[in-house]
Order: sequence, then C-alpha cells, then structure tokens
Amino acid sequence: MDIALQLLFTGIGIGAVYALVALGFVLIFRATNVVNFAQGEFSMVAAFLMVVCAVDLELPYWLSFLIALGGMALLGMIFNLGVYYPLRHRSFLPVIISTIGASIFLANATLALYGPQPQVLPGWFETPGIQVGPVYLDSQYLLIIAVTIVLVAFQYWFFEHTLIGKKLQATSQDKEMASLLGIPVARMIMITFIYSALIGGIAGILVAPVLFVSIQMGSSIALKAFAATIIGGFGDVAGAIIGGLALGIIETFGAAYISVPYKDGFAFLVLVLFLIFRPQGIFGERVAEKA
Amino acid sequence: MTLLAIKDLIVRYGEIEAVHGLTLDVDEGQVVTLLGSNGAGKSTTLRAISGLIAPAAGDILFDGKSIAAHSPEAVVRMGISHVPEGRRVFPGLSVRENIMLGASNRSGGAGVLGREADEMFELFPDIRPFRDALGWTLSGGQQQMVAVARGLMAKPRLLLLDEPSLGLAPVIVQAVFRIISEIRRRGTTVLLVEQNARMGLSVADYGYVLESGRLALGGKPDELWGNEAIRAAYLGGGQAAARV
Amino acid sequence: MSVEAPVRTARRNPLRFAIAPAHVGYFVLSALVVVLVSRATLDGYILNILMQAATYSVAVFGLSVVLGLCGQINLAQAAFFGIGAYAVGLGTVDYGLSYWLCLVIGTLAAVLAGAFLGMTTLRLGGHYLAMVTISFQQIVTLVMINAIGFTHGPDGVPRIGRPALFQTSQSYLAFAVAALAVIGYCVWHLKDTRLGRAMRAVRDNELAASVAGINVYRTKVAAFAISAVLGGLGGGLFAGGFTYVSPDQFSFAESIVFLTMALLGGVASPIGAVIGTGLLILIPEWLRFLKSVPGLYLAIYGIAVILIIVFMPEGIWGFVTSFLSRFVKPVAAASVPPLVLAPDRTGTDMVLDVKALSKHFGGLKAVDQVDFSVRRGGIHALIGPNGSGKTTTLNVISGLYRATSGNVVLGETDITNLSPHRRTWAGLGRTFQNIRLFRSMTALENVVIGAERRGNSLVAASGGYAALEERALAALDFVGLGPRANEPITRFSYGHQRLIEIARALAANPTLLLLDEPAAGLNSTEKRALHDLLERIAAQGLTILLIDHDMTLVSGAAQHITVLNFGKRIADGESMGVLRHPDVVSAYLGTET
Repeated sequence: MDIALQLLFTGIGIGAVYALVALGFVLIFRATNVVNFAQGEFSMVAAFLMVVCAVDLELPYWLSFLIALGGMALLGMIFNLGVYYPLRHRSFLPVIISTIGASIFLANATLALYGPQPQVLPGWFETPGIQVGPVYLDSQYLLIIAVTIVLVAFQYWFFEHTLIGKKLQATSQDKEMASLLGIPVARMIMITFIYSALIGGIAGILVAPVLFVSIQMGSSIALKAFAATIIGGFGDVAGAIIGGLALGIIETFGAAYISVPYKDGFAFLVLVLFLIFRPQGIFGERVAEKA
Repeated sequence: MTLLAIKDLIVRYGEIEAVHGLTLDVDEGQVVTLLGSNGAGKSTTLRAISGLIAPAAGDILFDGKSIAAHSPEAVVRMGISHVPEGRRVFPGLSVRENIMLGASNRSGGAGVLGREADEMFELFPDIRPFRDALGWTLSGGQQQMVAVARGLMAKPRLLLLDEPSLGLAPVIVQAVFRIISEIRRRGTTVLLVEQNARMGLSVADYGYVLESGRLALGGKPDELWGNEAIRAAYLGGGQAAARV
Repeated sequence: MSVEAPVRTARRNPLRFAIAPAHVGYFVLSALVVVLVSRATLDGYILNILMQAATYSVAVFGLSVVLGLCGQINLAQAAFFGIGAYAVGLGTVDYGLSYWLCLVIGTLAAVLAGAFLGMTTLRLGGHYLAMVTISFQQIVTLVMINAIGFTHGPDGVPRIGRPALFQTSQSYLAFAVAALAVIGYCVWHLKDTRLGRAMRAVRDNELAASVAGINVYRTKVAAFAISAVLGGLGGGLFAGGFTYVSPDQFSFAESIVFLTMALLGGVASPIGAVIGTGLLILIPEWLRFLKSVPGLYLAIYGIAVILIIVFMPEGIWGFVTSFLSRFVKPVAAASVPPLVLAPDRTGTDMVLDVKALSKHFGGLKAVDQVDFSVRRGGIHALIGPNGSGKTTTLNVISGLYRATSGNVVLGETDITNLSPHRRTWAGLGRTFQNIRLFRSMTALENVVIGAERRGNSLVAASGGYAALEERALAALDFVGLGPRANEPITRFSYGHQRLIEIARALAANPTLLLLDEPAAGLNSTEKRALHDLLERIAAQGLTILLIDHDMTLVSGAAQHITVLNFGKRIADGESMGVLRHPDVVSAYLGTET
C-alpha cells in the first residue's frame, strides 16, 4: 500500500509533465487546426539548453532558466516562420509532414551538436524532498505539480478572460474574418507558437532532472502527451490534463508491476484501447458527428 | 463628395482574371448597390477593397488616399469595415464576444468594448436574448445580424456588405434591409453587393451593374428598375424578382 | 430509347486498344532491364546500391498508394518493412522454412498489422493515424530490440536464406528487379480500377465520396492494408538481398527516409517513388562524409522534408508531369446517346416516407417529430426559415447524421440506420449546399464516380470503364456540359460546378434526388436554366426533393410543399395552398414592406 501511494505520487508528477506538453498540443491545434509533431522536441531542446547553461557553463540555475526560456521563445518564432507560416493556406497533411520534418531536424541537429551521450541536469532545489507519512515527496515532483497547476490556471484566465485571449480564439476559428476585423492574424499565430514553445520548454526543463536529458526524450514525451489528448478528448484542455495524469499513473504502475523495457508500450496500448472503445475520449464529443 | 473611388481595377486569381478594369465611385452618405450575376466580380471587388486580395493593376482611393494592396488590418483601421458573404460569425465565441471583436481596429479595454457591444443591441433587439449564446447555435438570420453588428463596431465610414440576403428566408431578408436603411440614416456609407436586384435597389441611392468583371451600366434605382430593357437584360426580369 | 443502348455502343470505345501497346512496351522494357541486370558485370558496391533501390522502391510504392492515392499518412512503413524482413530472416534461419513461405508469412503479418491499425484509427482524423503509426513503429522497434529470445535482439539475424533459384547476389537482384516491375505495374494501374477511383475520391472529399456510394472507411483501410503489404513484401525482398537484418534498419528514422523518398519523387505516382528512392540512395552515397557526424545526415533529411513540402509539393515527377500537361490539350469528348433515367419503381406510390423523425443535438431539437411523404414522380419542396431544420432533415435522410428517433423509408427499404454509401446504393442521390466535388479530377472523372454506384442497372458490369464513361458523358450532356467533360473541375464557374454535381447524382440513376439549395448563388438567368433542368429531370420520372429559398423556383417547379419551422412541420400539401397558409406567411414569407 505504501509503495502504491509512492507510485501514485510519482505517476502524478510524470503525468503533470505529459499534461503540460499536451496543453501545448491543444493550444496549437486550436489556433491552426494542426497537430504540431515537434511539440516534444521543444521540451528536449529546452532541457539541452539548461544542460549547456547550468552544467557546462555553470551559470546560476535561475539565469539558465531565463536563457532557456528566451531560447524557446526564439525557437517558437523560427518554427512558425519556417515550418508553419509558408504552409498556412494548405491542407493539414502538408503541415503535419512539415512539423514531422522539423521534429526530425531538431532531434538530429541536437545529436550532431551534442553527441548521443545522455546528460544529467540537477534539480532546482538543494533539498531532495520531504517525508510525509509513508510517502516520500521528491522536491522536483512537487515543483512539477505546482508549476502545472499555476500554468493551467494562467492559461484558463488568459483565454477566457482577456481580450487578447478572445482574439487568439477568433484567429483560430476563422483567420480571414479575424483579419477583416483588424486582428493582426500573423502576430496572433506567432504568439501561439511562442507560447506553446515556452510551455513545452518549461515541461522539458521540469522533467529533465527526473529523467536523463537525451535526444529521444522529445519524441517519447510527445507520443504520450498526444495519447493523453486523445484519452481526454481531442482539443479539450481539461481532457488533456486528466489524460496526462492518467497516463503518468498507468505508466508508473505498469513499469513497477509489469515490465520496465516495455514501459513506453503502455501508452500505446491505452491509446489503442481508447481508439477502439471510446474514440471521443473522456470529455470529447463524438468525432463522427461533426459532418 | 466621393468617399471611395475605384480606378481601372484589375484583379486576378492565379491565371483567371475576375475583374478587368473596373471604375466606379461611392459618394459619402449614400447606399450604393453592386448588382450582377454570379462570377461577375462583385465579391472580388469587395475583397480587393478590404485588402483580402491585392489588385493586379489599377487603384483604390479611400478619402483621396490609395489603399490598394494594403493589408486587411490596415484597411479596417482606416475606416472600412467588410461584412463578408456567408456571415462568418466565430462559432466558438458568444454573440457579445463576436460583436466586441468588431472593434479590434481601435484601442480599448474589454470593459469599454463590452459596454459598446451592449449598446449595439439597441439597433439589433432581435439578438439581445442570445447575448451569451455561442455563434454556431444561431440561425442564419441571427448570424447575419451579429455579422452586421460586428461590422458596425469598427465605427466605419464605409461599410461593405456582401450578399446579406444569401440563404435567408424572405421574412428575414426584409428585416435585414430595414437595418441597412437605418444604418444609412445614421450616416454610414454602405457599398452593398446583392443578387436580389429588387431588394438591393430598394435601399440604394445609386446602383451599378457588373457583367463579367466589367461595369455594364450605372444609374439611379428608378432609372435602372424603370427601364424594361435593362431589367430584362441585367436584373432578371420584373416578374422573377418581384415575388420575393 | 431502349435502356440497353448505352451498353452496346460502349464496346466500341477505341481507348482500350490505344493503351494496350504501352502495356506491352512496359513489359518488354522491364524484361530487357532484368536481362541486363542478370548478365552485366556488376561490382559488389553497385550491386548493393541497386539491391537497396529495388527493395526500398517496393516499400515506397506503399506510400504512393496510401498517401498519394488515398491521402492518408503512414509513418510506420519501416515497421511493416521490418516485419516482412524479420519473417524471412527468422523463418529461414531459426525455423528452417523455405524463402517463399517466409515471404508469404511476412506479407500476411504486415497486412494483418496494417489492417488492425487502420481499422482502429481510420474512422478518426488524420492526426490520429499519424500518431498511432508512430507509436506502432516504436513498439515494433521495442520488440525487435528487447524480445531477444525471439528476434536475436540488437545483434540482428545473419545468414538469411535465399530461394534455390536465385542463390547468387546477381541472380537475386534480377529477381528483385523483376518483382519491382510487376508490382510497379499493379500500383501504376491501381488508380484506374474501381478501388483506385474510390481512393482518389476519398482523398479529395470524404463526404462527397460517401454520398456517391463509396464506403469511405473500407476504402481507407484497403489503402492502408495495401501499403502494409507492399512494405512487408519489400522487407522480405530486402532480407534475402542483404542476408542480414537488425533493428536499426527498421527504426522510425527509416520510416522518415521512406516518406522523404516518396515526397521527393512525387507521391502521386510509382514513377515518382522510384525516382525519389533512387535519388535518396545515391545522394547519401555521394555525401558519405556526412555520416561521420551522428545525426547530421538525418537533420538534413528533416530540413529536406520541409523544403520539399514548401517548394515542391508535387515532387519531382509531379513537377515534370504538370509541366508537360500544359502542352496537352483536353481531348474533346465523344458524342454519346442522350441520358436515360430509369428510377426504380418498386414499392408504393410514395417514394420516400419520413415518419416521426427527430434529430437532437444535446438539448437542441433540430428536427422534432417530423412526418412527410414524397410522392413518386414530380418535385417536392421542403422550405422553412433558417434554422428550421431543413438541412438537418436532409442530412438525416442521406445518413450524414443519425436519427435520434423515427423512420426513413425509401421505396420498400427502411434506410434509417444505413450508412450514407448504403443509402446511395439503395437509390438515394444528393447534392450539397456548398458544392462538394473531387477537385483533383476532371468533370468526367467526377461524374464517373457517380455512375459507378452499386445497383446502377443502367451501366452493364461487362462494359468496363468505357460503359461508365459513356454514362457519365451522357449525364454531362444532359446538364449541358458534355463538350467540356475533360476539363479539370477548377476551370468551371460556380454555376457550372453545381451542374456537375447534379450530373454526378444523375449518372447514378437514383430513385430519389435530394437537392440542397441548388439555386443559392445563381443569377436569375441561371435560375431559369435550373428550373428548366429540374423539369427535364422530372419528365423522365425521377422524383426530386428540393430545398431552396427561392420562391420563384419553388412555387414554379414544386407540386407539393412541406414547411418546417423550429424543427416541426407547420404545413404540408399542394403548393399554392401551402404558400397561402397564414402560418407559412407569418413565419417564412413575410409581408412585403
């Protein structure tokens, strides 16, 4: 029982990371109707930026964090201009192929620059954690959960209660009409990409001390975050969060009680089960109904 | 006084030329109706004015200044508001939010714009009960009201209305045209594109007929409508349209 | 005019004989290449490159089918390739089976996996497919590496067997090239088969495909399964060629390599697939030094994918063909006998019976307990204010929405719970308010899809494509566009596109034709022409259910009118009576000011 509680805590921590990356997916999907297959690479690149600044250059942790976020904002901009913007008038298939190309590029360019050796990033806090009853609460996991809660709350407020949030929504629903009203559409899309690069980057920086920082971490996180969005119901913010948490918990228990090498397979299994039995996800509408 | 002047406008979609050398004027304070069959280039002309498509040649002057090839955002900031064909209400936003966003060409916080949006319901009492309903739940007629209200929020000097009667029941069409008359009475210039010649001319001070991307003729509504030959050749005959 | 007439003349189509020499030429040329490959002196290096190009090309053909023809993505082609390769590897090495048996097993395993993936995912959007195939690819790689007892793990499988007939590398290469030629021929001609046309229709417009009688889901699963078959087959050939397989040859990165090959050459044609594969095998050989830095090589692939998508979306071969097509004038259409409509007459006087039909969206009752019947022959109009539930009713009748309750009976068939394509087979035809045509095709090809409806008794099965084409041409003639049959859809005006959509429905010889706002956006001259067309259709005994706001058209054409308001029926009966009904006047027509 104690072990189960401990695993539950770890699972929620990992799940919170999936939820953050899933939020990035949902955001870009709602703005551009396209799934950004390089969303996971945003996390990977941010983690490597942290390793470069905090470990290699031995800069203070907070400064490294700011530099990494700056780098992510820049990456979000370049990504929009290079990968999405030239294709904005085409159907979704060319755009997703383009984001897949970008994902391959980011992963392998990082590999070419940094080599295949996985890196270690220390956690944010000196204190490793606290013992509460039978459960040991790792400080990094606590941080992940806290930041996720804050970001989710921020995102809700931003989209539902600010004028710029409404403009972003309008842009995602009908770009041409938005431009006729004087909404600067190109800037709105740019903001969306920067924001989702930042949110993906934060997820990567948070999870880096828990996992190894490796080239593969991006695609592995992205696959699970995507599975999370399907489990929750595609395009639904609350669904992405619940789906991410559920997946983190399933995976942690699966690895502990079933098999470690096939840990990454559980997400796929859950995904397929959902696709067969409940493709609309937990919160989603029936996809087929939208004729 | 001429508010909008179009001079020798040519617009192409890829290889196809949709407007070939169109010249026309819109005087301030008037309702001007563009008539013509499908593919005559009416909507394309509006799209060129509002900056959705750049003209291949010619010029568009608004208040004496060229706006040809300006971006849509720049054009609406200068005071031209375009209510496009098909209404294009944002499906996932509420009626009030849709209307508020009509003021995106000017500065102002959510509070100010929200109050202005509420005032807009004075002119459109029919949609007031649906203030918080999402755009996609509205009927076509309600969406048309929201679209026009949203267009007016920009406080335009010139309102471009593209086929406001399209796909609407006759009873709703009559309501929409009453609103157009009211807009004119309040001093906004309107450039109206219509297929429904009789309704289009009923509110107009002046009418132009486009044919295959060229100006076929122009005149006062009673000159156009009163001339049997013109009616038969361009406006689809008296009997056909008169029933609506 | 007898019903058999079109079928008889169809056999005289000269086109069939014109293509034949090209087919013979293809096989003669292929045979020459095979002989050349088996006789020439090739050093080991060249032999390896050719072997790789030949076997990879087969897998890339799979992407031509699934992505090029059907518009569905597959990011696990390397996994299917790996399944075929491991079947041959493990089968010949560990289990001592014959090469041929292993090739069959591998292909079967690939198609089973592909069909399973497709069946679970293809009802949903393309994003799901992309992500699920990536996941599948990762799982296959995981198993190859970790299930050491079964797959030999990361060390791979050495000393793989070849068929007795092709023991030497060179003879095996000749065999692989011959296989490539045969498979390439099949893929090349797939687009001209019924399945191939269905795939293209699905790629262009799924909704239109389903109401034209195509089983969209099954077509997509078929495309995906064919792609998996070609992947497995290519992998089996690959394993025999190199006699060694290991997990890293079938990783996700290789799936991306396959995708890049298909995109670079041009995804629409197997010729493009071969060009792309050849180039992407040769270029890295010239740029070998890139492989010294891990990752650099794939990073360039990633950039290449983006550049191709942005600047050359049709690929090399697509670029060449679109350039050449400028010099080819569309062929003038042949003259054919006039269109015959022979709607099915089984059942009562009522061709369509709608009983207590309801459709609720959440709490919204879009259609609420609506009853009406459409009498056989003539034109029946369904009118009402916007949001009154007309289009929803039409969508429930044609199966795009499921009825919440109630019944729809067409002739003698209860179609309430049928899928859209089955309703089309049962005799329903329709057009859309916002035109839905297959935009990459010509007018004629669009209408052929309609003529191909299962249950269309006016096109003889023995007549082949020529009979379909003749029927389609007659339908285009009927709406006045016959002479422009071979022009691409994009060159037609809005009004003409509407007519093509009607022709597509007519070519299917439906029992009932549903027209959703056919007059919207037409000028008065076009409206009169439409009115005339509707009269000519009705004169041949085909029943029309018409939705429109144009009262001139409705009152002039329809004998019977049903009026809806707020999802309920408020009037129903003979036209003039209904239009004077006080409820109809106040809710819909209004009084002129």
